[in-house]
Amino acid sequence: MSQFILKRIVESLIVLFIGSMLCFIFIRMLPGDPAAALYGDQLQKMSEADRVRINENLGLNEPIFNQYGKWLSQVFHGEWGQSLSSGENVTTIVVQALQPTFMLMLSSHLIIFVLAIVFGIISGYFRKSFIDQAITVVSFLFMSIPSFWLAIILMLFFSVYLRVLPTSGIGNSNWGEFLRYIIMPSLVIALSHVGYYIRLLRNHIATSKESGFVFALKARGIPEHLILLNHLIPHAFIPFLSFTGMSIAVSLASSVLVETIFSWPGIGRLALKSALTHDYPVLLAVIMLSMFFVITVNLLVDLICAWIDPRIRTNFLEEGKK
Amino acid sequence: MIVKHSWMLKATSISFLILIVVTFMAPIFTPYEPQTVNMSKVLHPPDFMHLFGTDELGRDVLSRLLHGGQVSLLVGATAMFVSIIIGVSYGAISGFVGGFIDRVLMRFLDACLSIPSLILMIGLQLLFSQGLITIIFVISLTSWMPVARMIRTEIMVMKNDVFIQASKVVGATPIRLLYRHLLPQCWPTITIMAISGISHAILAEATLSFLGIGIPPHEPSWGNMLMDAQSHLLSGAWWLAFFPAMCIIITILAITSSGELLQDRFEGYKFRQVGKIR
Repeated sequence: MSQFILKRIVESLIVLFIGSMLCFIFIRMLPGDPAAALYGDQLQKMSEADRVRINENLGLNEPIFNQYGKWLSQVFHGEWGQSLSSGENVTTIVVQALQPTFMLMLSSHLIIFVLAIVFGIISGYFRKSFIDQAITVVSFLFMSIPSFWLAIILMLFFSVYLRVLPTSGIGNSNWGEFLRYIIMPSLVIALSHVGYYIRLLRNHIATSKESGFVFALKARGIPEHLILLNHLIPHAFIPFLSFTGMSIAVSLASSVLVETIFSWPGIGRLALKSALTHDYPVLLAVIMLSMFFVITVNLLVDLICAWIDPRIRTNFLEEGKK
Repeated sequence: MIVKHSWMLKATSISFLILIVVTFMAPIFTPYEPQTVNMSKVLHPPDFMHLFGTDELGRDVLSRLLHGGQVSLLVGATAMFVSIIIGVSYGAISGFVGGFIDRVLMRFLDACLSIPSLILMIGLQLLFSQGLITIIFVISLTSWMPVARMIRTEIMVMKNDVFIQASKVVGATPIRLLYRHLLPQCWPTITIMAISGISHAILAEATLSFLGIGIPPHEPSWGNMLMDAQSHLLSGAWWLAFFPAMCIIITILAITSSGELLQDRFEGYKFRQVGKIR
């Protein structure tokens, strides 16, 4: 196990390294002159020599890999640079946006887990019954609805028609108030993803219900509900967990959209805003941070899976040897 | 295996087929030009003159919907095609060559996968000018990764099969092995991935257009129409948001459910084992 953990951590670090390099080069390729963003209209009054000097001070005339090395060492010292548009420290801006996104992710995944586990298990266990068909139709429907449209519909219904929930923002620190603000954004993220989770659980339970080990359990006279509780549901846990790990990047991406629509002051909205205003230090920090988050979640998920199922770690280690 | 819920498949597929036919024969069905402005009939609810109503500039929603559908479906199909080509070749090389190259390629793929795709799309979109080609390019560049991973696993599994060893003994070159023996075996996977790729691309196009960085605003597309509709919903112009959204939903629903049917045909559970870690 310790060998597996070590190998998996090293692998994640390599992925993080490659990813950070990709992001850095990618951001540098984007249009827009940092000097122009920093000085605005004043830049046109400056002489050519001044501009060259500014670029030298910013380190923009060095080879890109040197720039990357410099940036990396700064990052390791906790120095992410300054926002080009507001002049604030990038760290403070990003840290401020971190908590709302975290809360949003947490609450939406709570909703997803509850809905998916309940409906996925029912639908898989009573396969081809009326209730399975109904759940299938509804989950297909939610898979096909664009999440931004769902957001607008919910907003119209709850905020304009019923007037029970606020349309946008995050409210103050009061918890009850906060709950009212968070419910619609997290519902949108949850509903646009829950279909995939339900389908996954349904298919897994339906196929493993017909497999050999369930047949053997039935032969031994174990009651149906105990087979479901003690064998089928734990058996579906690993695929469910690793699917969660895989789709965390997708749900983070959809939070960009949802946060923009609901003016939720999180990472996603910050990403879109900084990309549209060419505020590259902020954009770079946001992309790096979400990448780090995704890689960490995947690492954790893999470790938990390998801890539960020894076959996964032996397979992994053997594949490395080939 | 007979699929029980095939009535749903039939309903959605038939409406999808009708949608495709009508969309690509749009000039015959639409009496109005999608760009024609008619200021005397602004935000007019659906009636017999304008079946789906008119928008804030008096443009006929039905005409815009059909012309926009061409764009959306075109983007969906081409982006899927490009991403399948990239993904299959990447996965095939990685799985077939193996060893160190495979490990490097896979870490690169993991890195690409871990960047949230929408942020990547927004960034890529800034690099190029707005337009149809750009959006196809951007969507396919951010959606080839799952295809590559699936194909790599398939090829890794089959690489040491007896039939491959036999053709090696007979003297088949690696290229021939790949094209004549390994890739044809991957067809079911490729088909399934292609189908889910189309719906992903259509949704991505709608999302980008909705954020205002997709198809240029004056050209109709389903995402663009939804974005325009947003500001008129409060004044009760429901038809502006309802019909484009219905088109998207029917299209995606038809594509996903036909994908599901094919999956069952290709011995369902094989592709369902997402849980099998790499």
